[in-house]
Amino acid sequence: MTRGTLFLAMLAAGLAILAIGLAIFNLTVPEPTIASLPDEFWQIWRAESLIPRLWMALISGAALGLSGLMFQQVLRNPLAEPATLGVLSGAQLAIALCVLLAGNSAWLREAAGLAGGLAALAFVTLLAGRRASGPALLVAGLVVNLAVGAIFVLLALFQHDYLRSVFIWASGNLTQNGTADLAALGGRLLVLVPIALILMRGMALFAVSDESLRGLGANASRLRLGFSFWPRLYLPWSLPGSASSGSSGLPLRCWSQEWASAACPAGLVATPAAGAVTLLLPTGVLTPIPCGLLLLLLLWQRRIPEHPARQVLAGNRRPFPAVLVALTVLAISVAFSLSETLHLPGLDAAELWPGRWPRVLTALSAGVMLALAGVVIQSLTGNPLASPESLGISSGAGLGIILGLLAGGMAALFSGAVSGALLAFALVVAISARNRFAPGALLLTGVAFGTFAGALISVIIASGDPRAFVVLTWSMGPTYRAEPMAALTGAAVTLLACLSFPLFLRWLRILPLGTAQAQALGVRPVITRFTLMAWVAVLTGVSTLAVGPISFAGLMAPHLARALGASGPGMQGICAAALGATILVLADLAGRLIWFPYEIPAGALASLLGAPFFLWLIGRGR
Amino acid sequence: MVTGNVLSRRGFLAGATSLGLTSGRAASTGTPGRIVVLDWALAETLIALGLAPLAVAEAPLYRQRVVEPALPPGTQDVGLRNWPNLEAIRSLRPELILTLEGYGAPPARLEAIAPVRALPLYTAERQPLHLARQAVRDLAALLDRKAQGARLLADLEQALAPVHSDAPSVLILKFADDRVIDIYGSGNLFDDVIKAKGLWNAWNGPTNIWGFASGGIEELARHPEARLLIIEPAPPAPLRESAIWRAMPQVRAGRFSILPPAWVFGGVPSAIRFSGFLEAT
Repeated sequence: MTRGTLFLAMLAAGLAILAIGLAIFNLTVPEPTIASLPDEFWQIWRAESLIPRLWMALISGAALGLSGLMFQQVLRNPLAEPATLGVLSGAQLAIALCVLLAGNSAWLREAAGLAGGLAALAFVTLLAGRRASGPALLVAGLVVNLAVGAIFVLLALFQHDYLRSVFIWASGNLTQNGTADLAALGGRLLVLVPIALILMRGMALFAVSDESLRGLGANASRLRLGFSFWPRLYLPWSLPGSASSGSSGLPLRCWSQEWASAACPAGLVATPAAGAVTLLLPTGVLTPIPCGLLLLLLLWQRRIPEHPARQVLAGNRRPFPAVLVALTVLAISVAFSLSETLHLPGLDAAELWPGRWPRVLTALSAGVMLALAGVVIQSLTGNPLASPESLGISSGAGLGIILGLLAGGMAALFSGAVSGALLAFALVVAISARNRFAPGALLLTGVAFGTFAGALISVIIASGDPRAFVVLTWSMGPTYRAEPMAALTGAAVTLLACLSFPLFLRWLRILPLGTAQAQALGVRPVITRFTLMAWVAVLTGVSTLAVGPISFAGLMAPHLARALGASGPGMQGICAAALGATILVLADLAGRLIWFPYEIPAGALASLLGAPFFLWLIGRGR
Repeated sequence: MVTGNVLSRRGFLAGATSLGLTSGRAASTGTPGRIVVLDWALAETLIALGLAPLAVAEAPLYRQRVVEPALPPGTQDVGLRNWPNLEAIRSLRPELILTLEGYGAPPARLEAIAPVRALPLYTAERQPLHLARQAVRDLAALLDRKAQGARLLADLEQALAPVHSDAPSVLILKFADDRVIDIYGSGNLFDDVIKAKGLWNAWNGPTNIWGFASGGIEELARHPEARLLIIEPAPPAPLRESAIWRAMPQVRAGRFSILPPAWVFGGVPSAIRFSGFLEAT
């Protein structure tokens, strides 16, 4: 046993003891407020709520930690977590629909969650098809996540207060009103845990490449689907707290490379123990905050090993026809969007012009900026899950908006967003500079930010404060808020971005070859990475301030460009920019017309309408 | 409470003059004036003053949540309360837009369409009932409905007449789901109402700017003497069947009532409606 392994084993034991200690502490030392409860109520409440809640925290936390570990191993991506394959958003959507249509009983919710999760899984598996490589599964899961997320967000937007219970669920409220949920969960785990332990022994296989597996006579795709089955089976039931405990393993995993292997026994104890500790912390729904801070601290202290970048979904056809089609559609939709008065018979286009041009111009610029930023960040990191948001800029802006809202009211929103975005960028630069701007550290820092920004948004919406609605709408890319000055600024930045993009082409071609190769070719990795990162940050920041964090355009436009056959960063950039702009301008137009007088935010609609188109392209490509 | 940036003096005068004409015509012919209302508390106040709004944001939902005073048939919908459809508002060619101060679309964007009147209800001073009365006076003066305004305020004073109760301590709450409840306290309209009626709100914990706090149902057991006033929807069935619910002191003693929907962020009409429910319990 090496010194490192011994240390890890001790850490694992320490975490397990901490989890048990926290549980005992919670049971024996009642909060001062509990003391004021009437005695006979306290007896029943302790047995029916307090103790079930502790067990729920222990078991769910441990199981989610373990699932996270398995997903990362099987998918070979440090960003993978239980939510990656679309299971959680599928479950969440089904629960939301169930609450709306059938009623809000625990039994129904559980059945709906299970059905929704499994349906999302079946869909992702079908999409990835027989070539279930890690990247293919990830991208398919991501598309399902985005589309389901958009439907859910629309439901939440228009049925806000019915759906508060869904946000309460998502924010990780573990309150129990009896032992029924716990009994059901325990029963399932009796079956699932032994299976997991058997599977674990085989997980080490995924430490080698698909090619080597094939050489050993194994089918990597079938293995991968088989091995991800356990966490899938468990997840639909792993009710609350998923956001915090699913990513609880992240700090551990960047502690040491050895954690990345599910075959490491200490990792097997420590990850679930860390999950349980997360859910048992007295911070409750705010747990993601200490988790995120811990992750940032670890990123600050430790060197993250550099992963070789991989090219995903490389294309080989000529994309010119597709670009021409995109540009034609773009021109037509811009013209139509500026002049239509379909729902407004009494008005002429001239009267609407002052309100229309800023939103159309903003949608167009945001589409171009995010698509270009997406192409650069995906090439830079070699990760198909990377998007302009991965830099943490949008999450920083989101946090700034929430804090501004709580501290200074509506007037402080904009200044909150700007300072949040700047702070986030400063922090990401500070942390990744210590790792020479290596892609792994960059993405993990962004994830740390995203984790607690997302959790805070859930918490503030679950709080029922009517102003929380502002945060919800903002997170969906509402182009209709565009102001003339902001639109012009965005357009100017877009123009500069288009002009400067060709300067980076050589770097983008060379950097994916690895640090050593890049240096041999005369490219200095640290300076180039920092330059590209700053460029992406400016584009993301400007578009986030204009329309909010629009995931789809930045994430999918590069994938779409590649699926259409664009190869090389230059062609991908042109193609993605045209597609990004078209998607957002169309989404803005459709969002205005579909549900008049209610306006559907362009970001949500882009995910909803763009996802099927993307899936069709992927299917055709095969 | 007209502030300079909300409404220019000239715009205000033009709006008020034209409104005077329309409401005059409204009084004689029964046709409504061209007023778009973006907040439900102001919408119900306007209707209580005898004026029909041309459009109300989220009108269909108003009928479920506010219920009374009922929206006149034909009231149009202009989208979300926090971000209405500005083009839809423009196409209605309103002469006045009523909105809640500090909430929803920025006044500058609305002012490009029509004169705007932004009235405060939920502020740091935490006196929603006082501000709701002020809103009645302001709207009555602006729309030349002084007599109706005075009558509405008199109705309120009558509704707020103290009730004599052996158990004056109450908790007002709403179920967010079967695990989380919202308890209304200092800074909420209904808290002001029960205090005026001589009842006592057992909730003395902190509340947010809208005057409520969220928590688990054990919070209720901490005040065993308080009567539970549960605003519909009723507690979910799984909770009502649980041992915890049956162990609650108020449930065992039968000290709880389920009240019909009432708008917790409302104005004077909602305060009157809620007072009526208190008399009935």
